[in-house]
Amino acid sequence: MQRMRVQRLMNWAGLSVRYLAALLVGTLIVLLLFPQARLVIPGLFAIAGVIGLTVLAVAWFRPVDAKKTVRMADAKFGLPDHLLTSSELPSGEGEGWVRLQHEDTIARLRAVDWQGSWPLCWPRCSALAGGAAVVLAALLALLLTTYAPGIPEAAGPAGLLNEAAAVEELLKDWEKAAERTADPELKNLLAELQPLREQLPKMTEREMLLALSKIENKLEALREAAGKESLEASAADMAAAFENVEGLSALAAALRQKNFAKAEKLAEKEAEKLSRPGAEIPQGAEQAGEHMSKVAQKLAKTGCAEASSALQQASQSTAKKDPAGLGQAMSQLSKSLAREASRQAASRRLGLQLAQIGECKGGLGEGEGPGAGLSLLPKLSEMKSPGQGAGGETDPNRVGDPTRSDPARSQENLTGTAGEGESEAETLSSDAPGGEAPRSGKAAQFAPYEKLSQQAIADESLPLAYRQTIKKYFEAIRPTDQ
Amino acid sequence: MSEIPSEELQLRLADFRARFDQLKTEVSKAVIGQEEIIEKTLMAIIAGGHVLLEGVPGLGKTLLVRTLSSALHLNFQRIQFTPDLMPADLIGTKILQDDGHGHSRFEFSPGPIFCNLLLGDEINRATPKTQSALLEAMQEQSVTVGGETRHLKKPFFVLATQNPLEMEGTYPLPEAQLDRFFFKLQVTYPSAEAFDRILDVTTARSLPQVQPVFDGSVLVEMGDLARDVPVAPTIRQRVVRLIMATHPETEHAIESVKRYVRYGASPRAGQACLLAAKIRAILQGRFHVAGEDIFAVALPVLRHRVMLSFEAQADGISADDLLGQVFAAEKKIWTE
Repeated sequence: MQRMRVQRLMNWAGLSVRYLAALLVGTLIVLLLFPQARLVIPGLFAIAGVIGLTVLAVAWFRPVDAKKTVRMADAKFGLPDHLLTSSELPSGEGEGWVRLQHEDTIARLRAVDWQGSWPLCWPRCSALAGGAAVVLAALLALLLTTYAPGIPEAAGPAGLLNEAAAVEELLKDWEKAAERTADPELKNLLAELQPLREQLPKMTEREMLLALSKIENKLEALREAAGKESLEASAADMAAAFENVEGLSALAAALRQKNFAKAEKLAEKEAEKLSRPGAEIPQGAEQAGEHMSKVAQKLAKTGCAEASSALQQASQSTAKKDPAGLGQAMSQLSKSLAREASRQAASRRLGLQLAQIGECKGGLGEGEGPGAGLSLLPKLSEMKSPGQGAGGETDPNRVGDPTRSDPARSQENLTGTAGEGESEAETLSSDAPGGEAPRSGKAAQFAPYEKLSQQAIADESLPLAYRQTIKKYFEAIRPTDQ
Repeated sequence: MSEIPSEELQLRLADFRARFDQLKTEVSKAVIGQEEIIEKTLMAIIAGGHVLLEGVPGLGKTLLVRTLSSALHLNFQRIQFTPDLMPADLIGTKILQDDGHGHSRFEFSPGPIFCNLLLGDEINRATPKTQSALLEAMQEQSVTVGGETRHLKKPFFVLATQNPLEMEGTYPLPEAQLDRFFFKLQVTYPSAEAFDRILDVTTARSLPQVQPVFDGSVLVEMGDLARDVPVAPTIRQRVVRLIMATHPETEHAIESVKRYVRYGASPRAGQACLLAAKIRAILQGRFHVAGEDIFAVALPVLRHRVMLSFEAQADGISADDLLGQVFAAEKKIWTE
């Protein structure tokens, strides 16, 4: 039985070697045609190895067919059914015959040359297949280790440390922003990320990627929450309601521009004005009352309860000719607008953070961080002084005010010689407030383009590789004095 | 199976082989060049069966039977079958006898069948009616005449001969009778060397004298001993399968059988096959029946029991050819 088992194992091993050789040939061909396939080859051979081991285990452990073994042994040893009869003759019946038969069988088995009659041998062509498999495996190993076209290497330990440092810088950037703006949401987020910060230097590439993805998911959830109960969709309707009311046209304009911070101030100012004794209902307010009521209903449907209540009160006050009531409504509206402004700022901040995380993920493997161009701090530096309410302010007009040319100013291009050698200077028109001198040359042109690029990266869903390219371009053209 | 101690059994088996060889040698003195026929005939006799010898005239068929009867010290009778032979000529009849006192009575006059070894020469010359008279004797070892059954002496063997050439005036043996022959042996022309020895021996002044070796009772003992040879169940199943393979309606019959065979062999063929295989096993020095024993005796057992169709005759397919294909197919299955 053992001999049968061993022979069966050798047969199946020989067959496996042939299949292995065929698999190696196929793999070599695929690898030469599709080099990217090298990533799946180890897995493929791992699966093949498991299958091969399973096959060999089955070959060894599967029960041997006793009848077949006996027949084969009789044939191999040249015994005419001796073993078959010995295995089947009932004992206890015809004892003399059975005993003689068994003794005869044993005597003949002793006289048989086992190795000569039933040699254990490998199946045909196994040796050839085995040799071919060895050669092919060596070729494959050579190809896998030396030929690696165009596949970026994973970040080595140095790269991972650089990346960890880049993420740490990013989080420090957020920390500074949180301190500057006293943004509780950002502070909470940083507190949640504290355990992650501690683990950063020890993380593998995969762990870092997972960690960044977790942060990204968290930021997405926060941005989604910030987008709820937004007044942005109804800002135009609100502006239309206030447009023809005396003293509220600036408020309407701010609302059209979705400049809720400005609108909040204007609404507060109007509320103070209407609260003074002797104040009167502005002209046009009575006519706008019905419009205000309609807008209030619309706001109620979108879940903006506070703004809806304010507008409803405003509508009722104008109908009752109650300036104080109108003033209270404007005060309530200003609070709602203040909240909207902070919500808007938070949403923009979160967008930028998401862009930074996206850059980190894209740069993983190169050990690069997102770059200072996408820092929260330059955005915060453009903010006005912290207002009331939560969150830091950012200039909502990311593109900048539309360029206006003062008819009184003109563009002059001066060329001339200053000192020795030729020089060239270019003066660009600017309506920057406070007499601020325009930045010269490339710096003046770089800043708005940088803003545009940041807006594009943060607001539009660009593939990560494209973001990297855009970032690198602007890094390359950044003026040296910045 | 009788419980004989193994030492005694070994002696008896050795004695069996010795007696067989002795008998074979004695018969070979007179019958030259037909060793296989002699061996098969002896195997059939030991098994208690009858033999049908077929061959062209002058090959020693009758001589073989005569020599056998001399060597075995058996009561021998010869019947030359002719078309006018009647059943009573074989088995006997009642004849009216006058007792000398004016009274007559019928007395049975036994026919030549009342012997130990009956040679039926050219058995296919007799009419089917006469041929059928042998049926009871061959199977039951008795004859029934006038309502009275009379048993034949033991042992009783029928060794019949038939000439395959002369078709005119012959009557093919009925299937029932053919089935009662243990073996059908084809007596072939001797080789040149054997022919030379035949001429040398048989044309001298003194012909070889065959001495009795042993009598019929020893034959019976040998037959009983042979029946004790153990058979493994697998071997027995192979015999069943082999016989069933000659039946065209069975699932494992080969295409040739389905096409050319009208009727397959009966269970009597299986009995004959196994008995003959047991004897062969002893002669080969084994204590069990092997597959090779079955195949060695299967052809003479089956060749007269497989009824071929007209298509086989038209296509010139003989029973031997067909059985060769059946054996090849079965051997392949046995070795899988």
